[in-house]
Amino acid sequence: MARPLEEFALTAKRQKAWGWPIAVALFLAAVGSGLFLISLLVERVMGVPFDFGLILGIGVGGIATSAAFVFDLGRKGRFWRVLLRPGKSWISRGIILISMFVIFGLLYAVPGWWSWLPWTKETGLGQALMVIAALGAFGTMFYSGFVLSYSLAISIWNTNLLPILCVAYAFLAGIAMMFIMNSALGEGGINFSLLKVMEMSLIIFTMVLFFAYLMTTGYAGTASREATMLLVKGRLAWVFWGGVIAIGLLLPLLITGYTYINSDIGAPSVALLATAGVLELSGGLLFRYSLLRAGVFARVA
Amino acid sequence: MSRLGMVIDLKTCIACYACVVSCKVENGTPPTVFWAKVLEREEGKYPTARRIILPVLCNHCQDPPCLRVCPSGATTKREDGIVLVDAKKCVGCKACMTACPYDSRYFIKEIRGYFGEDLVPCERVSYQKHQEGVVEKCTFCVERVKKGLEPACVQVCPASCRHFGDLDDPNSEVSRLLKARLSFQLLPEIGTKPSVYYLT
Repeated sequence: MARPLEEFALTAKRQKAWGWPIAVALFLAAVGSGLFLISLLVERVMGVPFDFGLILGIGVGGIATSAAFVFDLGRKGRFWRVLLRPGKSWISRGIILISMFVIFGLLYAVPGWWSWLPWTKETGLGQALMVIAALGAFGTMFYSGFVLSYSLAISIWNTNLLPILCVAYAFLAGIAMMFIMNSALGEGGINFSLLKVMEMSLIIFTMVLFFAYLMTTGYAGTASREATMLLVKGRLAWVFWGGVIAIGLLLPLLITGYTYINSDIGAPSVALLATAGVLELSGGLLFRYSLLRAGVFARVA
Repeated sequence: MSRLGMVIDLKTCIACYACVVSCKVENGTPPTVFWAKVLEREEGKYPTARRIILPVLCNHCQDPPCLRVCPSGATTKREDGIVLVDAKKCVGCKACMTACPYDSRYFIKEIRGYFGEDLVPCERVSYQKHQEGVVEKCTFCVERVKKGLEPACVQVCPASCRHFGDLDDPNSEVSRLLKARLSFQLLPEIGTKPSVYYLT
């Protein structure tokens, strides 16, 4: 066997342990939890029951995320073991938060279908279930950032801005799903003007946060600077500028802004918003992918 | 209480790779898995060019980041400071690989032989110690240590540049070397407190 020369080089190395499956798992966790919380907002603030959004959020956030995560495990049959160390490990905490959001979210949503249950969404028990599920979903949003930021070895991940960025992306993904579902299900009394304002504000906030994040990582040591350069000027630049920033943030901002200003264009507005949603979700997935690919270890000497 | 550690004298290391080979022989690790490695880099230009050599292995940190992130409890730290992975508990999530700043951990995706599809007899025996789908790393040859022996890489080093012992015992060889000579640890700024020291 040839000696793996690159392995013996004293240079900075990119992490290769986590790739597409983990990027998809983190993305789905954000989409699911975001959709669940935005659906709750639609239900509680706008007064429009939206069980479909709640259930889809639970399905995507709980079941699809777990499937993607288990797919990446070397020993899939031992999946249950990841629950064992919530006191220390963010993976354990994340799976518990996702389970909390799925179980309590389902218990909150099912009275919409099964009226024979002894509680409804409006009873004290129903409200308590909603609060616990919402906390689980909110925790899931943070978890996808903390699971990376907890790594001391990869300094581009090791920053407190990352969990906040992940929360912003999760809310964005939730609104994007609402835009996409709007084209399939119809408005049904949902106040889309409010969602458009939220989407535009979140995109601007995310871009400012991204700028702050890159300014921080760009000056946080050699490995972090190398990783940042990889994102903004190196091999990942086309994914970052083209996919994450242009497709994922700028285009959705422009499209949403156009539909907000021209609110009287009718059907084209629905199609445009759905397009903005798809673009925003694509950018969200590429954000996780580029972040994982830019994970550079510090030089050991 | 003891804290086992290693001291590597970079002035006497001749980069013969005997440590790498002895680790392979002792632990029977599959291809592409190197619990002990020798890192090399050439610096400068003729006539002042020089080659930097750095033998590396798991640092068995006092505050191991791999232990913190492990969700299954597979990574543990013994009282003597040796950090181990229990292959029966590891789920292969690879979180420890992203947490280890020293790139000391390996994911065993599949176990293949060095000489083609079929395993040779010695591989069939040595690979029984390894599992597919889990993460592995240097154990400081814990089975040898339990018998009062030194790790294989220390015993085999022809230049005697590797020294192993109790860092907490002021009379041990490793402690005396650290007192007498200038030393450094890898990435001390991260705060992992490695138990492997390098003498310069």
